[in-house]
Amino acid sequence: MRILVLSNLYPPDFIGGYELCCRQVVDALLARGHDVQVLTSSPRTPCPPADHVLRQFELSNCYDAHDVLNSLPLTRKVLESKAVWVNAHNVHVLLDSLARFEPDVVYLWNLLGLGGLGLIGCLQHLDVPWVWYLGDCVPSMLCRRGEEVLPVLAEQFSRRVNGIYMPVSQRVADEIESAGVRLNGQVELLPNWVLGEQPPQRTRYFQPGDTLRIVSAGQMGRHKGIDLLVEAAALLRQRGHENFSIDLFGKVSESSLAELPRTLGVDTHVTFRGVCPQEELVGRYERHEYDVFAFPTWEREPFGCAPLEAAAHGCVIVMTQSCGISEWLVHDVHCLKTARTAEHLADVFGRILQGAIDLAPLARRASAVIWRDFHLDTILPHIERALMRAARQKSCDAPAWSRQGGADDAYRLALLADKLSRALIHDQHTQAA
Amino acid sequence: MKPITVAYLGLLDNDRATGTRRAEEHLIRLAQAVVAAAGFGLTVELISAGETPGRQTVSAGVVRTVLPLAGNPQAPWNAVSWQLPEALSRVDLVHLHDGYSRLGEAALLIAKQSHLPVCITEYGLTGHWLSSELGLAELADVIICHTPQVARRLTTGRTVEVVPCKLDPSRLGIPGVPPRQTIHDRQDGVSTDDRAAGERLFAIYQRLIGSTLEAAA
Repeated sequence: MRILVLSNLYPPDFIGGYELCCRQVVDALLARGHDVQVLTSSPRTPCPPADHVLRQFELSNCYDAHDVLNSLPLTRKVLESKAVWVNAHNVHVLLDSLARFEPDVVYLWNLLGLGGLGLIGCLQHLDVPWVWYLGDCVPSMLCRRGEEVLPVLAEQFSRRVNGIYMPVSQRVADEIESAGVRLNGQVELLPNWVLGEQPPQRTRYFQPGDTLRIVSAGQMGRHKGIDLLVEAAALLRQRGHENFSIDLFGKVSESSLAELPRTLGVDTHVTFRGVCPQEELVGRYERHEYDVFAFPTWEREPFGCAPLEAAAHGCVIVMTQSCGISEWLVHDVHCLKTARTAEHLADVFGRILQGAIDLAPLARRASAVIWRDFHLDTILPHIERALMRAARQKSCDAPAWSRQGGADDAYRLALLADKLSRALIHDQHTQAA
Repeated sequence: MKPITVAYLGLLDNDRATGTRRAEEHLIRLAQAVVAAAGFGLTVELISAGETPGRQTVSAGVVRTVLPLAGNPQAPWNAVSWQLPEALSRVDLVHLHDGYSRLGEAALLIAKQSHLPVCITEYGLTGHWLSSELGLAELADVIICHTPQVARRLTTGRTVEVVPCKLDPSRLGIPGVPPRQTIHDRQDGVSTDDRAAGERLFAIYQRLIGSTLEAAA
């Protein structure tokens, strides 16, 4: 198959798991003999070239909080409309790639920052078949103005957009639909995955009296529950437990959070260890440097790749009971689920420390199921089948972008939408002023 | 068979600029002629956005719909409504009677995304900056000209149909060349040969809707 992949970022330029997963799937599809081309944005820092990666999209950097917060209100709104609604330049880049690469199917990833509605609108207009990996609620995010979903856009999306969606959890699909955006077509849940060779089974697990080594990795923010983890550490000490440590890997997004361990008197137990490359983290799990992976993330967490990797190597996940990954694993069988409070986290850690919870069987069962059901080798055939199903829907006629006027019309519509949205923003701004 | 509905947009904002009802009267006459040519088996819905939203039947087969305004437009031609997509969801064809109003541009975008056939009337005048800059008439399935002279001046790959209609659009109060939003407004009356224009337009609509249904099948 000829597969055109669209992603806002692509490693080595990345923010989180969304883009890393994209690269892993692309590499796997290439290894399976598919012809894959990735279309992504100009990198935010220099990247080495790769034959199958075109970095031609323009990214409206909605991820740069400093940039966003320091922009004038009008500039911010225009940037936002280009990020989520339409960026005619990016539609042009897409049309150019469709014409040159002639894909059988387009594989969509995160479209935030690219004017995603314009891209999906273009594909719909030209009847190009697509499959959309949903590692987050991107469709409803694209229908937003500021923090609210615009009913008119949600309604149009629901009415016009039709394809194959692959959300990483039911939570993601539900959140999109509860925002008023209906996912028309086929919705097939597919979890995230692990890579690599299954290691020998872990033989040594935590025993009462040992130091309980807790780890967490990812964005170090309150939405990920890192503050709750520090507070849980303080509660453990209040309850007389000293034999534990918490290592936190990732960029600390709030300075008040960095100070919290010292403020609560647990800086001897809780350590922010900064950003750690994925390979190094996996190495630490392989060497069994940790017993528990704490994941007290917000309930709207779509999935969570980091805990899956840790659990694959025998680290038991203690997680928020209703986040995305919790749908895929069973409490007290593969993991420990808890309410999202410091009190409840401290209770679970306390029971482990006292020997009331035996980590070994949980870790063994989770590791076995992850290497069997959550390995990319297991997941990839599902992805290939979805891509092939979409490709078969392609019209037998000449591709739409090559039909007379097809691409020109799509580009004109993108220019119209781009300029119209800016005109509306200017009008609104003038009124407000 | 489902009754056909054609949406008319454009020109109506001109009445707010001139304080007259000349554009509306022109479109109503044209719509009535089309409905009569169709043997009253067709509805024409005249759609605009304004401060007093509502929907009323003007005559058999002719409906006037005013959608609620989104925001507070700076100029009459900048009026737009969030309810436009809903309004267009019940029509079979969109005919834009000007190339410069924002509601018309939005309607063009929605209609093309919905794969609805689109007619655009081209008067041969410089209209709104956006339409001229982007050559939006190129998105029409059929460009309607009221005089052969205007049709001859067009350089387009699109189908151009001449539908004779003695109409001087400047009498309807079109916006001036941007950035100045002056109004060209002559006071003399409008005279049209409505019956013939109605028959011609009905034939064009029938053909376009027929080919859309064929493509969908």
